[in-house]
This record gives sequence, structure tokens and C-alpha cells, in this order.
Amino acid sequence: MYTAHILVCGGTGCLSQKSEKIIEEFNQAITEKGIVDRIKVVKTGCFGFCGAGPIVKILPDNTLYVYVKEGDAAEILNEHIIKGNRVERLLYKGEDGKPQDENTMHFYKKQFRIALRNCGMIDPEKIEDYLGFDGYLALGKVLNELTPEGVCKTILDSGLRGRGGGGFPTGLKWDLTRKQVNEQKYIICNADEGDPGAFMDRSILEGDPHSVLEAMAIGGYAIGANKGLIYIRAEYPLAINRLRIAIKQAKEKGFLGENILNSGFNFDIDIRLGAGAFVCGEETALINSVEGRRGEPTKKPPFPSVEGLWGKPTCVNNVETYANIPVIIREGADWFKSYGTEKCKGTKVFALAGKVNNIGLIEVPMGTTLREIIFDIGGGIIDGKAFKAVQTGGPSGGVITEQHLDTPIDYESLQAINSIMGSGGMIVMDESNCMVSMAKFFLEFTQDESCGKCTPCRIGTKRMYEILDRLCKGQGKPDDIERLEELGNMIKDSSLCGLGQTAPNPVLSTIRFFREEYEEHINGTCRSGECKDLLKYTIDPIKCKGCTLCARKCPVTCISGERRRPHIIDQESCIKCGACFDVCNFDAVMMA
Amino acid sequence: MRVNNYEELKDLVADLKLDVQLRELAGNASGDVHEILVGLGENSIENGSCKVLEKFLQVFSDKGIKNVRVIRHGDFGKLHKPTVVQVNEADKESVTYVDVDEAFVEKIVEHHFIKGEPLGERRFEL
Repeated sequence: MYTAHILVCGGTGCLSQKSEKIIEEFNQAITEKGIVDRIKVVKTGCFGFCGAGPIVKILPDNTLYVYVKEGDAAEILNEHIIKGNRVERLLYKGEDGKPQDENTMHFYKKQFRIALRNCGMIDPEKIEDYLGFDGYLALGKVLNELTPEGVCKTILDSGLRGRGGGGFPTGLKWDLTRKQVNEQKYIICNADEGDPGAFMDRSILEGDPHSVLEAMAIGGYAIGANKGLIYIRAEYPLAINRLRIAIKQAKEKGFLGENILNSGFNFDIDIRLGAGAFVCGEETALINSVEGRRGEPTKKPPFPSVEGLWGKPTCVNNVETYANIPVIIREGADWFKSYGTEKCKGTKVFALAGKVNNIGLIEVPMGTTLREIIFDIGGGIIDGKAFKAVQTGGPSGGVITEQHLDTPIDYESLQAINSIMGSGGMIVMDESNCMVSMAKFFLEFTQDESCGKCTPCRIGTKRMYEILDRLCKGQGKPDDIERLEELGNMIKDSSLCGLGQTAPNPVLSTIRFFREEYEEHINGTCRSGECKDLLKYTIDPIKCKGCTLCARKCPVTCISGERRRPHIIDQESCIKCGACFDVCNFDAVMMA
Repeated sequence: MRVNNYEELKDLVADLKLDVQLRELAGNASGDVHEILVGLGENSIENGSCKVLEKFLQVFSDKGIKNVRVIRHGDFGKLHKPTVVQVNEADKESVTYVDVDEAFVEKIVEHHFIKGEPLGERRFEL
């Protein structure tokens, strides 16, 4: 029997910081010590605390080591595992300097994991680990104890809504597809996660691929489909690899294929790689892409549940939605709906990013407030700066300001404050962020990702982007704000699909809450200093001591002056990098 | 190997749970989490402290007790009284047991954790 498990994060973030090497070192040290039969090393999926990776967790102690590097493994093994002394320097420490673990860390304390339940806990490349955590029992239960109608009813009763952003009741979608009379139906997993900064679905597929396969098989049984497809972007190689391994293992065990668990139900899953177009996250565009056509959306109705892939009834759900299914079947609809708000049950996974101390992947019950997420779980704003806004819903969402931080998160409450839940991207901004520049960033993304099928989105977002670009270059015109509002509302009203209908949101919401910043840009200033073209560095001749430090640090040598004499910046050559501002010890460099 | 039916699946899951029970216990803790520190100094190991640690894990797993963390600890410095086990419960004073063997582990769990009555025997008091 193993007396300790050493869990090492094998998610993309930690792997990029050589966690694979740490695993090798642990295995080597364990072999050298002759304790292979007592200590087990497990390469897991993401722990969520990505900002502090690579992460190593020791069980049963529940000790969390952060920022572990190559060479640390032998010390952890010798000191902690063999001698029983924790390696202090690698422990996560709270504000009081005391070591904390998952039960005491703010980052984990307010989280509740349903979709991410196995991430950071199991080896995603071993089906035995998934089975050990009740894997495939939900599929067994469904095939032996429930009718397809009963499965749809359970999911509908649970209150689960689509986690891709739409929030449509999953049970209803399944039931609509189930009711279609057709010999061939399809079930699709939408893993085309395209929001900038979002990695919820990728982490689930990397950390717990079998939960998605199991859910798809359950869904296939419920709607009457024997064929499943996972549409995943090719830029997720680790997730694709682990999915392939999982599909192979599931087939070997008989959880996919013919006559699953001797029930007479046949079900198989294939993977389709997408080229990374944001619009293919829209279900009709996704189906077009799978069929080999351009990834363009089509008008609805007909909805995919009636006429989808190859003209057959098709149910499309997102990765996170599927990850909830096996637990709902096992624990029951009542258990699931005991979490969340009146209208939104369960939990939601968010990718917390931006100017927040604890960046990473979190899962919280619906109804948790943004303040709790940003200031408790996220640990507040970096360097103690002032919170300015948070963008939810990625490029389709809007900014939320301080006044709405106590809004309990669910689909309706976020819509009520002119933002959206989206798939779960959450970008926090502080006082040093320029809201015009931020809106420009998202518009640049959406106009670039527009498929071009409908004119409002293709041309309208381009025109909006051009105005924002001018504003950031100090070439704004007096009526630019009104033009942005007019264009934005027109694009929202007349675009064909969700991409166009939501693309103006970041612009319209920043105009609503930060109109004065737009006006300042028209007048040629950017208060945050982020818009370089509006920025000018000068040296105060009274404060300047002529120490020459700024001149020595300037990468384009545009600062001149004699020693112990005030220096001058050549404005023509200055690239506005801010190096002089950062190094000056006398506050002589001014930014305006 | 192919799993042929639901019953076989349930049996397989039950078997495989043993391999992951350390992780399952840690992952499901809620409320106050108590700690048991098992001394694993060289002298203690020679006197069977590894078996004591394993026994704690097994008994907690068997009894479904999920709010106790079993921690590998260094030498407690009580060389004349191996194996040493310290129980730290939230908001209570630590209790240290010495000369703990596998049979006594069951007694600690039964009395100290289930009945909430720390044992009087094999106690180490300063």
C-alpha cells in the first residue's frame, strides 16, 4: 500500500515550466531510495492555481508546494517524505507569512468543484484513476436503470444550463433532440474555446477527459445518437493527445463501441480539429466546419436539434456542461440544484486573469459575488492598486465597475448590468488600464475573427475599430463617441450571429461607465499612459540632478545632458518606453 | 480488459478505489479538519511507525472518516517511547500518544475520533 501520493501538475501551464522534469526527478529519487512500493507519483491535470506553478501536492498531508523547480524534488522527498519535515521555502504562505494549504488558502476556500472535481486529483492518462473516482458509474446507471426520457428529465430537473455562454437548459436541448424521429442523430462536444484568456475547457479536457466522454455517451443514449464528435481547436495539442488516449482506453474497457456494458447501446466518438476560428464556437458555424465548409453561421431556425450535422438532429454542448453530467446522474438532480441561485443551479468555472494577485482557474457556486472572486479568491489587485473594472464574457461581454461588484453571478444578473457570463473568461483591470485601449483590443479581435458573412459585422466592426485606433493615436474627432454608439447599436441589432450581436459590447459598456476617458482621448490625453501616442515624457530641470541614470538606461539614447546638469529628452526619437520614468530616483521624469 | 456489465463495473470501481483512497480522503474534507502526526524518525520506523501510519489511513478509509489528515512527521524526540502520534483537533489541546501499535490505532480512532473521548492510556504528558 502506498503511504504517500505525490501529485505533480501536468497541465499546460506547469508543463511549460518543466513539471515533467520534476516528475522524472521524483521517480528517480524514489527508485534510488528503494521506496517505489510506498510512494506514488501522479501526473495530474491543472490544480487551478496557475500563477504559482509548477505545483506539487503531497497526500495524505495535503501539503501544497508552489514554484517548484528542477532540483527541488530530491529535497522534498528527503525532507518531507522521509524525515517528515516540510520544505518551508516552497510552501505557499498567506499574508501572515504562515504556510497554508487548500483548506486554508483564500484561493481554494470559497471554491466548490463539480466540473473540475477530478482536475489536479487524477492522472488523466489513466482510466483506472478515473474509475477509482466513480468513473463511468453514471453511464452504467443510465444504461441499466434509466430510460432516455428519464435521463433528459433528470438533467432538466437539475437546472443545468449551457456553460458555453448561452445558458440554454441542457435537459431541454437534449429532450428536443430526443423527440426528433430520425435513424441517425449526432451529439457534439464544442471544445472550440476561443475567448482571449479563457482556458476552462482546455483544462477540463487536459485534466479529466473521461468525464466528457462519459457524459457524451450518456447524452448519446438520452437523445438516441450513436455517434459523437468532439470539435476541438488544433492549438490545444495536449488536450487532443489526452482525449485520444482516453478514447482508446474507453474503447478497450467497453465504455465506447458496440453493446456497451451489455446494454445493446452502441456509441462511438471521433475528434475533429478546428483551425482556431472564434466564430466556430457558434454551433451552426461549427457544424459547417465539421462538414468541410467555411465556418460561417447559418440562420436559426432550423435549430441543430432539428436539422444539424449532415441535416440530422444534432445536440451541441460545451465541455464544461458535459463535465457536470456524470455527477448529476450519480448524485441526483436535487443535489446539483442545491447549489447556486434560484434561476442558475450548480457552479461556474472562470479563468481569472489580469491585474489580480491569484490568477488561475476557479470554480464557484452560481451566486458568488464578483467581489468575492476578485478580492477573496483572487487575492485583490496586484501591488495594492485600485480596482477599476472587470471584463466578463471575453470579447462578447462588457465591463463591470466597482458599483456592481456585489452582484451575485448568474446569467440574468450579469445581463442586467449589461455584461454576460460568456464561457467564463474574467479579466480584471486596475487604475493603470486604459479603457479605450482595452475596448480597442477586443474590437481588434472580433473584427479580425468576423467570418464576413453579414455586412454589419464585417464592415461595422472594422469601422468601429478604425475609430478606436484613431482615438488611441490622438487623432479623435469630436463626434467619435456618438458614432461609436450609433454603429455599435446598429451592429448589435442587425448582425446574423452572436459574434456580431455582442462584438460592440466592450465598446458600449466602456463608453457607458468611462465616457470621460473617451473624451480625454479626443482631447489628446490618456490618463493611464497606456496609449503611447498620447504620451510625452519630459524632464523637470529643477528636480533633475544630472545623475545620467536615465540616459544610460534609454534604449534609443534619446536623452542628453552633461553630468550634474539637467537632462533633456529628444521627443522626436523617444519611443515612450518609460525606462527613464522607471529608473529616475528624483521623480524628475514626468509623464503627461 | 473489457468490462461486460454494470455489476462488473461496480466491482472494478470498488477495487480501484483502494489505489486512490489517499487522494479521495484529502479531496473530500469539509468543515474542521483534524490532524494526526505520526512520528517517522529512524527509531520509530524501526519500531513500526510506517505500519501505524498505514493503519490510520486504512481505518479512516474503512470508517468513511474524511476530516482527518494523516501527516508524516519527523522525529518527536521521545526516543524511549516510540511510536509517537500527536492528535491536533481544531480548538482543542493536542494529545500525544506513545508506544502506539496497529491495535492501538483502532482504539484511538474509535474513542478519540468517533466517541470524542481521548484515551487516558499511553498518553505522553510533559
